[in-house]
Amino acid sequence: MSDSQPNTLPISLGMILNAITKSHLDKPRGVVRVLTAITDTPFKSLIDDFRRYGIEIECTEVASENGFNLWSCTAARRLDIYDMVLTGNFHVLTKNFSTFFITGEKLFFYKKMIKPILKIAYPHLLRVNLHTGEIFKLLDEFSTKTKTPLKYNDFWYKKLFGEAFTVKKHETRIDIEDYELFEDAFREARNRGGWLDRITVFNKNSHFTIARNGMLKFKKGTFSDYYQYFLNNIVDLVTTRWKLFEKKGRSEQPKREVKPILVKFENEVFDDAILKKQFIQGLSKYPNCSYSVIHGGNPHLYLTMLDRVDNSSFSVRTYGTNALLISPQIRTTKAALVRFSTYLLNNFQEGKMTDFQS
Amino acid sequence: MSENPEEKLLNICKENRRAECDRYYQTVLLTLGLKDFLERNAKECRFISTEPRFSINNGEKEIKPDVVLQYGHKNGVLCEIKTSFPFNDVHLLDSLKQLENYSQESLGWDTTDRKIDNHDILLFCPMVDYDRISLKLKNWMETGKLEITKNLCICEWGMLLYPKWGKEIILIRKRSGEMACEELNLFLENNIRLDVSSLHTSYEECKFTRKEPPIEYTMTQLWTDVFPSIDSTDKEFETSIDDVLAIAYQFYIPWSNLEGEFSQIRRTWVKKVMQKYCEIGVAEKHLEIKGKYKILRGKKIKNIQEYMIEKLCKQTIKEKSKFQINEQEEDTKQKPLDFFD
Repeated sequence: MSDSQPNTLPISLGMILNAITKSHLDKPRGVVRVLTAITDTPFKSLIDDFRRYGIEIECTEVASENGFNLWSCTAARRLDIYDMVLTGNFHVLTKNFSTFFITGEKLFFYKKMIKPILKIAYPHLLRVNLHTGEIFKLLDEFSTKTKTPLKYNDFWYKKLFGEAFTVKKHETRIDIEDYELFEDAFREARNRGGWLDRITVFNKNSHFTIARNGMLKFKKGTFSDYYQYFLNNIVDLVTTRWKLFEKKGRSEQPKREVKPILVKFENEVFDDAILKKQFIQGLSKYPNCSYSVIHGGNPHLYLTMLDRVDNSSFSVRTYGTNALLISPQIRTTKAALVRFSTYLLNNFQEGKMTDFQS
Repeated sequence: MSENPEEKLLNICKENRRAECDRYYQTVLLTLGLKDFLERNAKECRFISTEPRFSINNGEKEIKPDVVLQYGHKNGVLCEIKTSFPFNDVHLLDSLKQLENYSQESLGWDTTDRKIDNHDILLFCPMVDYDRISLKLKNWMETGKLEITKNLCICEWGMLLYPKWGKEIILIRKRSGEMACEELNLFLENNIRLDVSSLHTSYEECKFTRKEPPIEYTMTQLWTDVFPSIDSTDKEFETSIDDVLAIAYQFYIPWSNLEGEFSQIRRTWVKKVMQKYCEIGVAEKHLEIKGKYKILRGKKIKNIQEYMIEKLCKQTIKEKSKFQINEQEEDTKQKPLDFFD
């Protein structure tokens, strides 16, 4: 039995996860990384997919409480270019459609095992992405509720076409009072003409990094706190935002109508012909996708896209000088729109997506 | 580094085909814009449709005006939208000869007997071409090279950024000639500004006009939009012309329901597209069942339209050079005879 409150983990499951993550944090330079994904498919049925792609994986359910399930997994994968077999452990926490991959293994394992696993499971498993504003909101809530100011160590910011920069101001400072508040990092990124992509913050009880790609990494603190203030809220934020992508294909509309999505950017990103060309070049690098340039940018751009992963199609056109219109075609899945929006977010510019008709 | 002649030829061909597809796209936008404009503003003049078959000589010869308008009891306008004109006079005259056909009594109007008492011709000419074309038209009509017996009105049009609104518009401006329809004359004299951004949702539903599109345009649309709804895997699959048309009937609904039209896409266009897919190696014809094809989707084509254009251009160049070689061979065969003669 559990006495958990909404948004929190059941007590005994929380204790188990806190103990697991503590064992990782207790190691020298120990960190825990959590990647969040959304799925309609039970985790158990995804395991076979991983095996099909050459990952030897064994998962055992170790706890189950109040609709939460915790799996302990061991995975091995041959990496020919390194002439090695990569092995390691991770845990998977699932509840309804949310899935959290938790590991205390080294960064190499996270990059070469956890991330590929999520990639393999696409389109059944969709990795979350966050907007800068959403990260700000989460940090602000955390700081308010825990009644402790959050200061930052470093942050990354991105500029047009996904160009990334790092700002590490404080590595030599010792006095905690000399560190600036997390709000200053957001302001600084904006002043530099970009938007914050990831940030490392700390207070008395916690020390963690949160990124727009949905990755949460912590060096200090308990898993149950991170679940309560971040992971659970990330799922809520993203599922609300992704509702926009649901049932958008023309074949799903009773009158076969088109349901476009408007992506609005803060800056006039399409007022320059060179930027339009660069935008096409950027889209041509979008993986597992075919495209056609129907109208090449005088004055507007119009392209058709075919996501080869699940054969979804949609068109993309510039709308004025600061927006894009994404028009789903006959068959367009939510997964394809999520994948494309994430690509835009990471490789072009952050924008606000809304239903065009509304 | 300079291109070799073959590469140069290929690049010219690709450039032309790309432009053709783009022009077709712009024609669709202009047609949609006109339809939308008249539906919102006109009381008398109405947009008829883009599909019904129009014919002259008592139904013997089909004509394909881009837009058909009707007004009053039995009056109409046949519109021809041009996105470019040839520079060569022979080809230009040939292209304008189309207007001679439009001058004849035509069949296919939205009346009980499909006929009309009188109609005018409205030519949409790109802004950059207006001066040249109007001069040529005048000369050829005066010298009798062109016989246009109906009222001919010429409008120039172009897609441009309208700074006042910060919006992209299609501007239509009357430059010469008059039409019997007072309402339409007035609209055109005051310039028509169509907001392009408002046309894009309708474009997704209406991608084809009554005119046959460049084959690469249809090949791209079917590959990107129709095939995924027939088979959602990334494997090869079998389909038929009927399967494609069944989807087209649902999603590319006709602009009107006149004359038993079911879709914007015609069966003959799909047939040609399937044939071309086979010729460039992305489809195979079923050996036993007529009208059935295997679509070879295994090829990871990055830029679909460009791929289709390149393959077809290479095919055209190859065929032309074969033809030239054959001609040369014929010449050399005849030479000894010539010599002995």
